[in-house]
Amino acid sequence: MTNKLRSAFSLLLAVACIGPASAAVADVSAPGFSFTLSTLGNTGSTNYASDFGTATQVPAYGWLFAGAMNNPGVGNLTWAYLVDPDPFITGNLSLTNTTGQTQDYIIDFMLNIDPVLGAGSHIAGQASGSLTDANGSGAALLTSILGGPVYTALGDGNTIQGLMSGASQSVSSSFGTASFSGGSFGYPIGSLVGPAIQSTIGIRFAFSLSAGDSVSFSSIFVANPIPGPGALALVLGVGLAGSRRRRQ
Amino acid sequence: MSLAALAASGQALGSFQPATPLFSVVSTAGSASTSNSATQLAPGVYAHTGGWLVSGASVSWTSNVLGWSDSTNSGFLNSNIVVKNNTATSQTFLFTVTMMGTTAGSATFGGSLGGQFVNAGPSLGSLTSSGPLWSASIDGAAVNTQLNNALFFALPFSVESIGSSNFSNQAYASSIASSISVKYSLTLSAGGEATFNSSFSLQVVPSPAALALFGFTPLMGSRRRRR
Repeated sequence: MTNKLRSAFSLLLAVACIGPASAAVADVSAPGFSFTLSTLGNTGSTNYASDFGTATQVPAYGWLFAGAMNNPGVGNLTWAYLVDPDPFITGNLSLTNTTGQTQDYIIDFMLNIDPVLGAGSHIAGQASGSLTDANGSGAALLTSILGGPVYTALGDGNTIQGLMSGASQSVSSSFGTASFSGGSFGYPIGSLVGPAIQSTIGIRFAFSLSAGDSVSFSSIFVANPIPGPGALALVLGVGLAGSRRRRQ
Repeated sequence: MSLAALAASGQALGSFQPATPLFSVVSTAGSASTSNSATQLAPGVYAHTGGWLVSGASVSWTSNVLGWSDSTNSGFLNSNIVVKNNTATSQTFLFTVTMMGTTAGSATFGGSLGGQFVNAGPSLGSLTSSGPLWSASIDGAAVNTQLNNALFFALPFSVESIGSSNFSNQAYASSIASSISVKYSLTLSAGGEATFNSSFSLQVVPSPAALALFGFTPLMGSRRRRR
C-alpha cells in the first residue's frame, strides 16, 4: 500500500468512526422547549403557565423562545431564551412581584437535546442578576427557598449543578438597585465533566421575592459532548495524513 | 397639614400619565414599530410589557412599572429592559421610556441602574457605549447619567454583571413642563444580550406659596371650627 493510499484509508476510517459525537444536522423545526412557572403557597404549588411563548429561528445561533405573562395576582414576567439542541441554553428572565406579599417562585426552562450525550458531557453554567426596589418601599429582598440553590442546571430533570445556595440579596434604598454575580461552574468550558444526558437540559430558578419588587436573571447552561473514540480517531487520522503529506 | 390635604385643597403640584408612556427604539439593525400593553396595578400605577423586533435584534421590556400619586406628588419610572443582538454583526441601540406630565415647583429625584451582559456568540463579546449608556432626563435634558463610555467584555457563552449604581436626593430647581424619561444607548457585539434594571423617581417640593397655603388652610379651618 502506498503512503497516499494509507493516508486516504486512515482518513476514511476516522470519518466512518466519528459517530454521533459530531453529528451536525441543519435545524428545520423548533426543538422541544418548555417553560413552567409555579408559585408556592401553604397548600402546595400552583402552576400558572407552561409551554407558551413564541419560537423564532435565529441563523447561526439556534432558536429564540420568548414569552410574557402579566398577571397581577402572580407577577409581571417576561423571558427570552436562546437555545441550540446541540446543546446550550442562555437567556434572560425578568419578574416583578405584583402581589401584595412576599412570594416564592419556581421557574423551569427545559430543552430537548439532540444528539444524546450518552458518553458524558463537558458542562458549564453561570448566572447573574439585578434586584430593584420597584415600589419605592425602601427595601427589596431576594432569597433562596429553604437554603437551596437559586439557579439549578438540570439534565434529564435531575440536578447537575446549583448556584446561589442560601442566597440573600437585598436593596436598602428607595428605588435602589443591586446587581449580583451568582457564580459559575465549568469554566473554561471543557474543564468539568458532567453526566450522560439522554433527553433534556434545563435551568431552574427558585427564589423568594419581596412584594412589589423586581428581579432579572441572565443565565447560561452549556453541555458539550465529550469527544468519543471516533472523533479522536479523526483527529489522529487527519494529523497522520497531514504529517505524511508534509514529509512527501 | 399633609401633602395629601394640600392636593385635596385643589392645589395639586403636578400630574403625570403613567398609563400611556412612550416607548421608542432606534437601532442600526433596522426599523420596526413597538408594541406595548399596560396593566393597572393600583390607582395611578401601571405595569407595561412590550417589545420591538427586527432581523434578529430585539428590545423587550417588562416590569416597567410607572406610577404617579397626586396625593403625595411623587412619581417613578422603573425600567426592566432586555436588548438582544442575534444578528451576525454588532448593533447600536437607542431606547427611551418617557412618561408625560407636568409639575409646579421644584423637585428632588433619585434612581438606580444595574444589569448583566451575556455573550452567546463564539467570539469575545462586548457591551459598549459612546457617552452615557444610561441617562435620566427631565423635559429632554439629562439630569443624571450612568456608565459613561461603558466597556464590558464577556468570553463566549458567559455572563458578566455590569454592577449597580444608585443616586438620591438630587435637586431639580424648575417645574417640569412636559416629561421625564430614561434613555439607554449601547452597542452590542454579535450574539450579545444586555439586561438592565433601573428606576428614576421624583418628589415635588412644595413652593413657598404652597407652604404658605399649608399654614393658611388649617388656620381657616380652625377659625371655622371655633365659630
